[in-house]
Amino acid sequence: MAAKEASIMEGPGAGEENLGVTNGKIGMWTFLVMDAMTFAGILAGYARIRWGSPADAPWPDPLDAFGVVGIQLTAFNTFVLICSSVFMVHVLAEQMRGNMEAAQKWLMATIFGGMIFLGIQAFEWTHLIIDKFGLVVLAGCNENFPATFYLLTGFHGLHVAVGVIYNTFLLVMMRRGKVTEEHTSTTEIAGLYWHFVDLVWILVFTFVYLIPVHPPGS
Amino acid sequence: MASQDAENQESGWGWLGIGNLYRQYMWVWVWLFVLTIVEVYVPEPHVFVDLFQTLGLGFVAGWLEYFNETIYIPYLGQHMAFIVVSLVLMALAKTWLVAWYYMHLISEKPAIILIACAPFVFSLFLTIGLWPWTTTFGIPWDLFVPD
Repeated sequence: MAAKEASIMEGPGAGEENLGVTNGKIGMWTFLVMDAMTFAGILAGYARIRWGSPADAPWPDPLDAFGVVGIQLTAFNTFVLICSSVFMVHVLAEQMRGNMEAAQKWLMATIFGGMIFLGIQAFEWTHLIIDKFGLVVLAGCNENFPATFYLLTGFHGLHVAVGVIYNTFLLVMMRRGKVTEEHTSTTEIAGLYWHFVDLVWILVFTFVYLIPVHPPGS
Repeated sequence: MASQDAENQESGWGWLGIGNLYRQYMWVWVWLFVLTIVEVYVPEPHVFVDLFQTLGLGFVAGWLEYFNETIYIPYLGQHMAFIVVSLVLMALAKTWLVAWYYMHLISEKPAIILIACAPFVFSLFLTIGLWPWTTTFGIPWDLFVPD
């Protein structure tokens, strides 16, 4: 199994482990759990605000509210992030196979996917700030909608940006020969963070973009 | 996953004739892709009708529109509970696929799996606590509130 082997194959850090897994991995999992709880709190707050919105300031239907950018663009962005995630697992897989050149190519593709995601999100934000939900909120619109939207997608976007920097750093280390096929644990830990970013987006995409106010048949 | 068979590092490689793709990861990717398409279809079935028309696939668009108007919208698309529950279930299925296969929980120790499940338990408490309850279940909660 990749995870088990990654822990065992880690040469230099082999002694630095407890519970049979590297301390680095325990640290990353602990951070991810903490981060997941932060996202859970924000998402739960979003859900509570949304379902408690008053009748005189109804929650806008996400499908209408996003206008020309629509959910199609965000669905494409989700697809980009999923592709980026599969690229990342191939980085580790190729590294375990000892093919560092291929691992670096997959890692470059992963970084590129993250940058595309951020670019599309920047385009979406620009459109929404200028045309839809800028400093002056459209009359009749629930003010909590843009507030929660920017908070959730912005906080996630920040994570993607950090992930891109993290992966770029890993790529530089690979190119300099500091991370070799023996340091699979280093890549695995970076991968955990990147997959977590993908995992959280799946939930944000569902809650913020997909769940409609009215069913399509109404 | 990628090194299930430590004796043979090449085991599991090759997907649709492409040697540099690991098969199991790609099948998970296919499932993630399919679920994403269904996720978009459930709340907005007309998106794909427009998409197929734009792509010049009028016959597919026509067939899908017929399906929407005669089956999906009359029977399923009118029920908000169906929309919300199916979307949440699909999102949970996707998160499970990512965590289990891409984050390698499949091969982790039970302790790590339990740690990874902690946020879901936390989410459950949050959902119960923040749910806009309309009933007190017959319990006079206000008696417990200090004056």
